[in-house]
Amino acid sequence: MPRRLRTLSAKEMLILQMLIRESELYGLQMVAQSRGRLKRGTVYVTLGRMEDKGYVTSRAEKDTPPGGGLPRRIYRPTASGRQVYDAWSLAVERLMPEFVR
Amino acid sequence: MTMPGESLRAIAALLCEPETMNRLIDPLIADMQFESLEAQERGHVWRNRWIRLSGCVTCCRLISLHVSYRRGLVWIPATTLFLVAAIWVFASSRQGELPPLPPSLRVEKGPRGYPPPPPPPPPPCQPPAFMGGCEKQSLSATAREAR
Repeated sequence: MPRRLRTLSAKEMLILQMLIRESELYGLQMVAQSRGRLKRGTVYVTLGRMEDKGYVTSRAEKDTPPGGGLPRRIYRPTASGRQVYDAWSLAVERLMPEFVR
Repeated sequence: MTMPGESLRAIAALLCEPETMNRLIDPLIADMQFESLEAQERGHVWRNRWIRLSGCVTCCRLISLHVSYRRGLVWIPATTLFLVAAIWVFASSRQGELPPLPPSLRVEKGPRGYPPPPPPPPPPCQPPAFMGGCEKQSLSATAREAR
């Protein structure tokens, strides 16, 4: 049976890159750090898809706002996500070195 | 006091599955609440208002996209409806009130929010003697003509 290639879109790669660098981030922090490349409306859709693929895991924050609001969700990369990111960044570096520069 | 986005969350809970709520809507509303509280603590009234409005619009777009995708609807009318709902929720929330004006710009308000109208001018006074004088004059003229 042929092994299925694990794909990684540009946004997913950006999210994984930030998560590997910072280890844990909120959705809003990712939007702020991406300098306009991620939008508030799409970041959670992308993160949900990445969770389905097994690239990231999430948990609800313990602290809630003082007024009794909702807890924020913290995302962190999985081992599988790190492997896929390493493989894709290596592939990009070898195949398209001009983009890495 | 209610937290921002609670009404929107209640609307979303009617339309979306629990998994969607947990993955998409709740984190978005939680971020909006944290950002809004932060802006409120710093005293940034307009930033707080902008965060709430943009958060509501983003949330509405997400709900409308989700609902239209699940039910096979056209996205644009649903978006318009949800945007209207978002604006209504924002406008009807208590924190959506305008900040008080500085004392130099404040005016005493009339019944409909406008400054009170100026007092009516006094009616023009006509001395009764003048009218009587005219009558007398005209009478004497007619009497002279009769003679």
